Amino acid sequence: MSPRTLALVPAAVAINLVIGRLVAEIGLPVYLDTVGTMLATALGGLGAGIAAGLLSQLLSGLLSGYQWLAFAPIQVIIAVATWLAARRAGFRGVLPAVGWGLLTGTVAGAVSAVISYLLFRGVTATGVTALVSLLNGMGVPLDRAVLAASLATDLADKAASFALVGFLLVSLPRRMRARFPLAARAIGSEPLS
Amino acid sequence: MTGGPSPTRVHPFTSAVLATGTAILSLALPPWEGPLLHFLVVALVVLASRVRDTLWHGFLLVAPLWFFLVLIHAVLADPGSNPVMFGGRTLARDGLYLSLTQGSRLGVIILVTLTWYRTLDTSRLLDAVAARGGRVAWTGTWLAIATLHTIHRFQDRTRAILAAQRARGLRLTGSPVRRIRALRPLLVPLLLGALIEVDERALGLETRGLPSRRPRTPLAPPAVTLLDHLLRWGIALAVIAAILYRIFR
Repeated sequence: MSPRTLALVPAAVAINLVIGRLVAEIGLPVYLDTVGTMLATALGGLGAGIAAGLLSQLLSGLLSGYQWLAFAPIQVIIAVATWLAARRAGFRGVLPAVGWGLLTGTVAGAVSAVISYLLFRGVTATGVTALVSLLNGMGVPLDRAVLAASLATDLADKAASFALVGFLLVSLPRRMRARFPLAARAIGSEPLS
Repeated sequence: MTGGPSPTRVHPFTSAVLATGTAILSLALPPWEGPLLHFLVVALVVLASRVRDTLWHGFLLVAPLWFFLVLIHAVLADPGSNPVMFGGRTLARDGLYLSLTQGSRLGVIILVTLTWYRTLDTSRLLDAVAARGGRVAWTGTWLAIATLHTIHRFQDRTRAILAAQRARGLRLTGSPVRRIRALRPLLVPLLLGALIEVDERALGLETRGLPSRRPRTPLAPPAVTLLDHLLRWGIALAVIAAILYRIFR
């Protein structure tokens, strides 16, 4: 990793962890705790995104228990999806960004449901588990309740996260964006020569 | 540079081995009495330690998991032919045992993680990794420790930006869409500040030879004492014994 990528990764991880608390303070029904991973990918490439994602999972595990390390593959999925979206100018507008977010949410939600059901018996973060309990109490079998709750949460969360990352990339000054060619490509503008 | 207020004097690798071994031991012990007893022992050890307030922090993290485990697997599940009566309610016996097992295992993992973090001396860990050699391991450890410090700085900066934008009239109430939009004036300054800092930090890292391929020199490598060997072998033997008991009982 280049020194610039090494310097970018801690900032991206800090954004992941800080934004989670900010969102909780504002009282939004989403987590947005992968925005840093997405930004690291869109700015520094796939390697930076995967490093930021895995490190986020490692450090949030350090603060709340290492059992959540089982969800590390989700961070890799998000980094890969963001990298693909950035290469195809997926952040050029709200609609494409939300579309990529929904696609990512479907894959991440499905994988997350499998991990949640097999390793945690459906009991993970409070918000998702409350939804699982509600569906299960209404007679939905546990495996389907876990899948439905994971998909619902991830679809909304990743759509909002991708839209927010698109806003942030567009908001960057041109001179700063020029240092990150992938970011310029992600929003559909040519990088400065 | 420490992970918590009470760093331990054993070798940093020993505390990592103890934390990992204790978590594996909880998974290896036969359900449901084994993990529950193990959880109680770990909780008592934490209570007797210098970081006893970790127990309360751990309880706040474990309590919702216990609540939902019992709700989903014992209260909402079909009680079957062999239920348990508790407080006038019929609970599924198997679900209750499953909840106790899973809740205890998660409780142990949470407690050992938090205790390890609170007692971690990051400088000694970095020196221990440097003494062992391996550029990738050292860079990974440095990255994790540098990030821990960045998080605290970002939290302060976020609070300052939030206060400044509120003073300029930013409202964080209303519909979810409006509140998501309110994130933009909070996150743009945070991101810009982070990216400006990236260049400065990259220059600093290059100046200090981080990209160098030469082995790093530990300033004060921690020694591995007899106590370290005893603790490492003790937890390893406990895990092996628990696995053998599960196989041959």
